[in-house]
Amino acid sequence: MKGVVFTELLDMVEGKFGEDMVEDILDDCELESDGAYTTVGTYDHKEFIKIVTALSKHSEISVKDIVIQYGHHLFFRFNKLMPEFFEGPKSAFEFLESVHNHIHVEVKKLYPDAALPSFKTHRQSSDTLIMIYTSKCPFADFAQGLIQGTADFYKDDIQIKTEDKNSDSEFCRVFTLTKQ
Amino acid sequence: MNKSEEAEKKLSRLKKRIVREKKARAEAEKLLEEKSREIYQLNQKLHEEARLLEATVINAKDGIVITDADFDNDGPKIIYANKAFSHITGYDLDELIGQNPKMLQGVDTDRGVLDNLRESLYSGQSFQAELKNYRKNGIPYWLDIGIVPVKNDDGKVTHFAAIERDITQQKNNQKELKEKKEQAEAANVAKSEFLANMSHEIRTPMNAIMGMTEILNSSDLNKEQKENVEILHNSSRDLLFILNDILDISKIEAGEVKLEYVSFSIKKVLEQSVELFSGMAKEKEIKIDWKINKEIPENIVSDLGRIQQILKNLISNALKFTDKGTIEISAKKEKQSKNNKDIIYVEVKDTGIGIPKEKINQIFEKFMQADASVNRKFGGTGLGLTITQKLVGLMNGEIGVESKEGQGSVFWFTLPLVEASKEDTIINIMPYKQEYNVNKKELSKLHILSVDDHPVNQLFIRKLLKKIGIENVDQAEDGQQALYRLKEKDYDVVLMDCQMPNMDGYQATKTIRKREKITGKHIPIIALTANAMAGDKEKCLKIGMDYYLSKPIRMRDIVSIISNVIINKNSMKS
Ligand code: HEM
Repeated sequence: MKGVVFTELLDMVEGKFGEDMVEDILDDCELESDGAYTTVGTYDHKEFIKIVTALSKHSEISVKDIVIQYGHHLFFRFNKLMPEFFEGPKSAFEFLESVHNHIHVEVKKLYPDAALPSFKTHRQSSDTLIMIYTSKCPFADFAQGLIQGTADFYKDDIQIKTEDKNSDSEFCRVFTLTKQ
Repeated sequence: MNKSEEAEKKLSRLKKRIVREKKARAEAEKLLEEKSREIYQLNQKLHEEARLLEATVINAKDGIVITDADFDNDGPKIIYANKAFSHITGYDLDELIGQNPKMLQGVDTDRGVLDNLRESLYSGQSFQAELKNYRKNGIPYWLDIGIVPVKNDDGKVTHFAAIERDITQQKNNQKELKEKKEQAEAANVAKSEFLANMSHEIRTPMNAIMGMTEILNSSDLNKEQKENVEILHNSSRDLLFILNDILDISKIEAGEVKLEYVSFSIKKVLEQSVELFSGMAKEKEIKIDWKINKEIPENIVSDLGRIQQILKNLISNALKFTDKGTIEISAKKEKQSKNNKDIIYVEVKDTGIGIPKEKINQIFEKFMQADASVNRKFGGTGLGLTITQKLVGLMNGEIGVESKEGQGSVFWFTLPLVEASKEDTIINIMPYKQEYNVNKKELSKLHILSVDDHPVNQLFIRKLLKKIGIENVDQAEDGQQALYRLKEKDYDVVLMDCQMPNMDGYQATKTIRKREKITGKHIPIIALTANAMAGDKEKCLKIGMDYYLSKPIRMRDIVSIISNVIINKNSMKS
């Protein structure tokens, strides 16, 4: 997993809970990297799980909620860090449709070692977008947070329904997004 | 926790943090260094590739031009052109950049090609064509142009790259070549026309010579005179054969031979062909035989004259090279392996001297005989087999030979087998020799019109007919005169030469038959032609002549045909 996901996470923790929280949770975790993340480095994605689990213990917020919130937060950070991806799409649906075939494609060029999920999208009606997440990593909640972030960013009122379809080889979540 | 303890804790956290940050920094620097190196190397590689590509594009001898793919506002515009492109078009680079390449088109640029070009480019497809464009100085040039769309990662066409080759010189060469070829073809046509004319010219007196020697031969001569006349006769016949072969091959090679399809009995053709050589075979004490498989239909559709010629050539060839034993001609039905179509397979098998292995592949080549000495011993032009092979080829057949030296040869050919339909008129194939009991008295009653423009021929025919007892012979010099004579008097038979001034034999026959549609009569017309070329016979019969005699006319032929006329006439009466 790319370092940017870790540095942004720790930055968020510091912003929301203070410096000490960062030290506390890193102290709790046995990390191969010792928590010395750089944006351009690549780290074991299990370290991410360890960190959010520790944070959950200290903050008494569920892991799921933390990850969703982080996804939401990260979306707005991406908007600051990489504004070029936001030039084309005019709505949340359009943006989400561009993730797999455009944004992540460019990300992959930038970071050839990035492990990116796959998204299939199709519009069931003008108000409904089906988005299917599949990945080797268990980050469906993270995706959900990013989707929520997208909706909020475009100020689209979108109801999100989820259904997990994990298999032995892959994690899978079907998002049904309906404009209200 | 007291204050100092708290300070202690804070300090230790800060220390930890510093350690962490240092580590992160070190790692970041390491990664940065790696990345920089990687980028540097990639850059080097890219630069090298770009250098090669650039050098190739810049220095290419073909014009290379790149346009954008903006179809709005005046269409795609040139963003790059190489030196060669400037050179070909005569425009400087700064005159080209930003322009639509259609600036190079002009009045003679093919609109159809341009439409295709536009269509291809619109649909993102590549395009290749020859096009006429114009240089800056207004002089047109031909180019071979290939345009490919350049697509980005998303598959969207962003540019077009075109490579143009100036083919003006080639085009001119092509034109020149075409003209030269046409000239050569015209010369060839003139040559074969000359050949045909010349051999016709030679043949007419030759025929007269032969005819006269025949008449001479049947007059009272002593033994020595008779021998001399025979030599004279045989030599003229050989000369005529050579002439015919040369004429045949030159016509085939000039592509002037057209196939004449008629319906006939192939069995009768075999029978007649064998009969033709039976005399010669008897002389050499060779048994000559034929057989036909009954799977072959009674009547087939093919070119009768060509088949007769092929058989004649193969049989005479076999006879020439066989001193004892047999010659067997057989025909059967087969299926062509490649398309399962019916074919007729004919072979001529002899027990002659055979062909040496090393010569067998060249046996169909012009002027090739197994041995040069063969030519001297056996005579002939060496064209017979070449003609035969070409004729078989013309008729979509195959020909081949198997042979063992000293044991004999098998020449075979195949032809498409097409059965004649019930409605077809079947061409009557006359047996070569027929004994007729026609008495002189009956012949002497006949009135004959002989149509020929040549006085020597007229004299010869008159003498010939007189020899067999026919005295009532009128003459006409051409078709027109013949028509006139026929109006005045009823004749029993017309002997019609084919080639004559004013009105030829074909035209005259057509007119006669047309007139007869009203009168309901039918006068037997015997075609006499100096054109020995296969196909003439069918032409005569198709036009409405009843019989066919090719010059030189022999006494026994004319007797047999005229007898036939009388028999037919009598059988009609009864
Ligand atoms: C400008 C927008 C975006 C950028 C620049 C971006 C970039 C990235 C990057 C750098 C990673 C890390 C790859 C790795 O860990 O090796 C990542 C992972 C991921 N991205 Fe995005 N992303 C964007 C938008 C989105 C959106 C809108 C979604 C959800 C719909 C999304 C879903 C994910 C998920 C779920 C992962 C985690 C990897 C996995 O589950 O296998 N991304 N993205």
